[in-house]
Amino acid sequence: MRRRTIFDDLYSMMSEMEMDMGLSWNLADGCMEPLVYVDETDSEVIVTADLPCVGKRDIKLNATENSLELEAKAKKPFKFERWGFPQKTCCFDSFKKVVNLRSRTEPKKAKATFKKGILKVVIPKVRTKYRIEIK
Amino acid sequence: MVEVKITESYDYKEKNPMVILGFPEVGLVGLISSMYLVDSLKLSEIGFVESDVLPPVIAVHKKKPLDPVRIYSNGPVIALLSEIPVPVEAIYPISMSIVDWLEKKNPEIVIMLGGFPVQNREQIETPKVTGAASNERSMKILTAKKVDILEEGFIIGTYGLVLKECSRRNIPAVYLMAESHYGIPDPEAAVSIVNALNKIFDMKIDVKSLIKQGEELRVKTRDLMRRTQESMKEVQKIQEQELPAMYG
Repeated sequence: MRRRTIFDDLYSMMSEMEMDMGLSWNLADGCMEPLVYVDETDSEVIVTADLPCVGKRDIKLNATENSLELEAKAKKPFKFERWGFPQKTCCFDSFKKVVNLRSRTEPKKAKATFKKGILKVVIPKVRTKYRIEIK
Repeated sequence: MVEVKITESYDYKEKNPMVILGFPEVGLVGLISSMYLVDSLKLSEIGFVESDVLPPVIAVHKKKPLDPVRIYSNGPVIALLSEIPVPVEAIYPISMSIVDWLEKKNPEIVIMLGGFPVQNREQIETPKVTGAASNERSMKILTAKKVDILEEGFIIGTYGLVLKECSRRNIPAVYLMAESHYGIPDPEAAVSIVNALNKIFDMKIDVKSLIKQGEELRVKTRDLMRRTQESMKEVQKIQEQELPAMYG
């Protein structure tokens, strides 16, 4: 039997804590929400997502002017022992999240890279720029 | 009045222990690396920190309730680590109580472990480690091993306060920070921290298992990272990327 490590204590603590923060997983379809953060520059929206244990070909990205939908299948299922109440073993094998973007973007010009399990999508913003004369 | 109580059930014989502090902050680097040290050095749980300013959370392990801020030791090495981000209103009382506790231990060295956020982290193969020190003695330890030193900048949160207070009370302390993702758990940065400890303090901790667990750790610490990110927003942790407005 595998030796229980200090990390196992951490996981059981976290499964209790996340109940009050809103769930980021769906047991029915074995799907987890990946960690995502969005940065903006004057001209671009940059979405970074953590997709560990995922291959580049297993990522699906769909974008609209103001949202980015990402789905990815993991190479192997993540098994959690004694999850939630009542305690049971459960598995997750995919990631899914719709990221709402605060600015209007041009999804056709988006560029994505994937390195070491980190997905980075750079989407140019729609720019409607008018020159203002100073009188 | 805020009360912080540190309870230990261990009869220390060592006079000058090495004390390691690990809190969940940027990339969870401090927590991941300190937990890995606890496991690798086979430290046993010997105490806990409780306070009315900490969230009312406990873990249950083997049917026994556990506090989220715990102390581990094997005698010469003591590790204090928190499995919850310290709420902004708790940072001051917790930091001061930790320094009071450290002062009584008369430590050989206090080592704080953490990360600092860098842009384009995914382009960096081996995260670099930078150090800060509380006094001349601890600075010498870092410079003797050619560790890059933080010359200008901000250190926000528990580590910042503990380092400042250690400096005021002349307790030797170092803060080691690895280049890290901001809001994504970064076990690779934790590997850099463990390697830095090996180099600076002549430890012999094998990092193979940490490298192997890396991706799984990222999945399993995802929710703690989400929670930590919320807490870092409150303490303006992102300010560490800014330049201080000091005269040159």
